[in-house]
Amino acid sequence: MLSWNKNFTFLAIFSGVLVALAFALVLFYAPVEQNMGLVQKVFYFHVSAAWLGMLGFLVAAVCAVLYLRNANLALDAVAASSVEIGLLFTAIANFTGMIWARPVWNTWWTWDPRLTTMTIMAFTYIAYFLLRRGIDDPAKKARFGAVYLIVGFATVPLTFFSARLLRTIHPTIFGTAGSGDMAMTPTMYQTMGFSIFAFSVLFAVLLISRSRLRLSERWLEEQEALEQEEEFGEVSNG
Amino acid sequence: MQIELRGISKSYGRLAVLKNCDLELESGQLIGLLGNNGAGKTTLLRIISGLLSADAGRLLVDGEEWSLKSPEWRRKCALVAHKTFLYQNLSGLENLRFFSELYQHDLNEKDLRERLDQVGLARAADKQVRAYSRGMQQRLTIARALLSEPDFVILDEPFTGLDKDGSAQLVRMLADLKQRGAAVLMTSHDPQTALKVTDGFVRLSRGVLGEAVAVQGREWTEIEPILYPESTPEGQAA
Amino acid sequence: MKNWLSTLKTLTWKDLLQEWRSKDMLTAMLAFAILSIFIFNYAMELDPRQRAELAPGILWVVITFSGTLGLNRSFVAEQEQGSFDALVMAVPGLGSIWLAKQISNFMMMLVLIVIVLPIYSLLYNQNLFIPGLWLTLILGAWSFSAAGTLLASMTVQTRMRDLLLPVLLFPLLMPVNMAVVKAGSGIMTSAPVASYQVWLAVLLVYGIIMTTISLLVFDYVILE
Repeated sequence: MLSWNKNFTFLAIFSGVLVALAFALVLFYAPVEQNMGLVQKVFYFHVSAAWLGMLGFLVAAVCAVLYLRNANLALDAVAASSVEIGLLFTAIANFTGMIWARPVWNTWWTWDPRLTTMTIMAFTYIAYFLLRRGIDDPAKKARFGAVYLIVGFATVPLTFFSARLLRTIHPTIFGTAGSGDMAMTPTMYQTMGFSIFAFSVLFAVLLISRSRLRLSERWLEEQEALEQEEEFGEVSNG
Repeated sequence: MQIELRGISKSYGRLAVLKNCDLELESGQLIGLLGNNGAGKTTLLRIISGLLSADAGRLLVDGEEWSLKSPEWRRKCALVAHKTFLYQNLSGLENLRFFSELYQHDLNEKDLRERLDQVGLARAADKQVRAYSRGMQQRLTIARALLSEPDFVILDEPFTGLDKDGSAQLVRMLADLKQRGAAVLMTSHDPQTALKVTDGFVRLSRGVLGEAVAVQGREWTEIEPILYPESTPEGQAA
Repeated sequence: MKNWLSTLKTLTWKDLLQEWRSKDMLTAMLAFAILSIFIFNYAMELDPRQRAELAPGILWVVITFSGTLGLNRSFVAEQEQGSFDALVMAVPGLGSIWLAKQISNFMMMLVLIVIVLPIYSLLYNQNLFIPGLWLTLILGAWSFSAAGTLLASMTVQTRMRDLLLPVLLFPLLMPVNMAVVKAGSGIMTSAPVASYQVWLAVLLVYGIIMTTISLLVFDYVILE
């Protein structure tokens, strides 16, 4: 698993091609939206990035449950990598969202339920890493991380529901501007779908790559511990 | 009761802490577990008492297979380790009562006070544990451990921090335990202190548990070379 | 089942007695809460109408921040004396250890609320003796405590302990925060029940979910 794989190289190149194609589609194939103009095209990447943010959390939560059943540290590596990538794309989503929101709604931030929920998820991600940082033992780090992911994941539906409820009671000042307000033509749907697909493949590539890196780092740490044991005849904390 | 542990193994990644350890104990026997710091003694004790998961290993009680992780087994064991397991703001009596209720023994106050008297803590029974000296806390810890009338008592360096009187008292208690039919496993850096009540020794070295060496009334000077062959001139030549 | 309940009773009693003797949690919580109420007065100069609407929000902020200070201390005894191990060996159903802590922490939160509300009421000249408000805060306290107890059992075993609990806890509490504040303001402004009852439902659901999950995963926190 740790050594470089020819198939993986192929997959990586393929994902690069897909993303490049997606860019091309967004720039040249999709029409310019009539209300918002050129800036609307950020939207495709915004949605794709947001999707990856959620996918990251989902994959991590699944790995967490699996880890608690059979304590395979590779699952933990995948979970942590997934959260990391999810966090990255959540940040991208927020950033692209802001780029879009400013010209359209004349504001940097709204308390839109999806945005709120994603930001809270980002805080959960960061907390997850801080929790891991505070634990030295790899097995405990994985176990507690998994527990936190599961609990965090369980609160997401309620968070979204509450955020949405909050919004309907106090409607925002900028009217009903939302993604549903755009006139979506079939070509736009196609571009959107392709973009999400391309980014999902990219996610898989990044996930595999990052997980392998984590496992390699761990392998190195173990190597050092093994050498210490050879030399001193001691494991730490006998 | 005969306790057999077969093939206990534990690794942290590629670092093997315990390699295929076998151990046998009978009721009324006291076995001393020797080994350097970091040799894995505490890990082995925690696995045996059900607090830590082993990678492999079986437990046989009177020939029948039990799970090391089962609550029933954990209740049969009593662990006396470095940490006292006591609640500092509760009195000695209250601590005992708490554990007695947990084990569903429901000893009444008179019985509990008697137990405290047996370890010489009758007068301090109603004082908060935070006011106890180290030796007193140690005695209370042992009284607590014995509350459940365990079949198997595991002690991790119990003589640490005890003065001569305390040590002598502990040795008497160990003899008493054996007489009541408990099997006792004890680690110690000072095998000579409890030599009189020890039936045999095993040594853990680099994760491997050696053959048991029976005491049979011999002096430590006779036993030591068998356990530590490398310390003899012949052993060093080998 | 009878054994499980009697174990729960023993554990809960121990937790309550331990806290009563040390008053660790209560002192931390109350000191912070009362100071905060004073500080809020200077931070916000409000007219009476606004005050009614904002009271639940301010109160809840004070309660959650103080509550976190208290939660931090709830597992300290077990951690320092290694009692986790002793409990694991003695107690067959490990979930009862969590539930006992949860009940005792919840009661500490109740004590906090019972003390803080009258003080706030006095200082801000605001009638807070409204049953609906108390119900909201009690439901909120249970949910807060459920999430907090589970997370505290983990953070107490880490290096950064006290600093880590708020960071882990607050993102998870968003639904509770929103629900308490919304239901609370609705009650304080005498809005029709139908407008805020959904928030009470959110609190109830959150409490049930969090309690259930904690009972399920606690074994993994406490066993290696």
